[in-house]
Amino acid sequence: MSVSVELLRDNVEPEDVALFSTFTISATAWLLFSTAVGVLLSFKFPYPDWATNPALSFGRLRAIHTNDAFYGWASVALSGAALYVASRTSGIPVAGKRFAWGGLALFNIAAILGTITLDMGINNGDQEYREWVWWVTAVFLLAVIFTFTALLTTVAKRVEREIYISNWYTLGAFVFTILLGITAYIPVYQRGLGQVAVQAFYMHNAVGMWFTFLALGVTYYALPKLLNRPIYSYALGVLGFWTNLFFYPVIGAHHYEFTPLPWWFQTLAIVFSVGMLVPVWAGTGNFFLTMRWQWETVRRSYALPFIVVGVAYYFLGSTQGTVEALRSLQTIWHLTNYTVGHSHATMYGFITFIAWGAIYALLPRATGKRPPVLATGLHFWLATVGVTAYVVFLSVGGTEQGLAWAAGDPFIASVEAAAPYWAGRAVAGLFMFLAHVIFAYNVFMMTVGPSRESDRYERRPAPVQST
Amino acid sequence: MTGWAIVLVGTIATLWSIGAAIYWTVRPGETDPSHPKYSILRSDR
Repeated sequence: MSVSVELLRDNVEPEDVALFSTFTISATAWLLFSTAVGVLLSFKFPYPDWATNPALSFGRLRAIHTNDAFYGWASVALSGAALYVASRTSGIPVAGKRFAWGGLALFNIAAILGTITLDMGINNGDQEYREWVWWVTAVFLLAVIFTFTALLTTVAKRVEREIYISNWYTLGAFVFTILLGITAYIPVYQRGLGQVAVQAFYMHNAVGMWFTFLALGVTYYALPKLLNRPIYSYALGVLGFWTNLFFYPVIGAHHYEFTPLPWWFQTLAIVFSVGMLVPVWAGTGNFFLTMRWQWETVRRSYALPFIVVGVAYYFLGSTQGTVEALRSLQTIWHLTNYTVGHSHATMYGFITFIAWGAIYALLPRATGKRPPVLATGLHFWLATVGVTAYVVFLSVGGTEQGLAWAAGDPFIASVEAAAPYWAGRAVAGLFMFLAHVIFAYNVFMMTVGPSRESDRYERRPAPVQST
Repeated sequence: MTGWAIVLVGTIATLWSIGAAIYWTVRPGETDPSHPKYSILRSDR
């Protein structure tokens, strides 16, 4: 009988278990809230006269949905996993625990303040993913700095000589995000073309230098541990780190093609969008080559299927981003619902699935409690079918929108063309939300829920050689 | 002119990194058992 590595338990300090559990529980609460708002929003498309109170208006709720999913769910979930990975790979308990707890508290304070202010109509203007006013973002940045302090202290005190590649990625994410947050709120960049360039810089790097780095970092630990097999090529991982760092910061400008931004700068953003194929394809290849000939282990695992889907969407969503950057296609897809489908392919298909895979892989090893198999399977299939249908509906609907605009049809024609796809997207969103409810139940079972007979551990098999 | 020089450098960097990615895909290396990619598989990691 093959042994699933999820049955093994790590020797972890009780406070580290509490830390990881609390980060995950907190993140899950924000996942439920932000996606409940998302479902409500999705039904406003086919039923625009529904829930028209200002506090429930699309303009306010849309920013609440995106910011809480970004900064309440994904940031907190991946930060908790990153701290756990740093501790395990460094061979010591999490150091600077007060900073870690403080960071968690500040993440939550920022998300609560951000939600209240946005719903009151107090915001930073129409600047995607940074609608929070500056003092709310300052609290979020403090959370990042606090958590970074704990992460850096842990890695600095490691007993291993080298810093494992996971920590390169996660430390890089925190360093770059601190710089990103400060830069984006410098007063001189809040108007004119500087504002456009900085908005592109912030919006895209929040995804590519924060969430992507965190997600790849935890994958470089969780995947080898789940398979009990070393990563295929460490050098490819290092190349991915540096090329992501080199190419990514500029590519946000591909959202502002055909604007007064310098033409060469727009071209550079397109060239570097093509350059991003290197870290994306190298990373995807590295992960799938690590999994090669281990598909039975993947099938039997409750964490690995999430990572497989996450890596697949990393490849598809990021490659799609490169294609979208080309001017000829941008003329059709820009500002349509196609872009919304793309953002869900990346932030949900990639980032959220990797966060789930990491949590299912690592949290049971910390707490000694496994999630129910049936509930985990339901979570996986509802989320996978939901997000895939969501992306397909909006990709097709968005393309029809863009073609209608390019043909010079009346605007209402594009609305009528997209309407059936919006209804389909709302149903797909319901699938995804149901998956989140099941995930919340699984988090309960992995943390504060009762221990069960099936939580017994089994002997670790010998490592599988990579070559 | 400076802007287009940056585009040229970016293009060269893109081509170099494609070559490096192909090289390390074909030759992953890292056969030393003390390499970190093996040490994290220990039960205490």
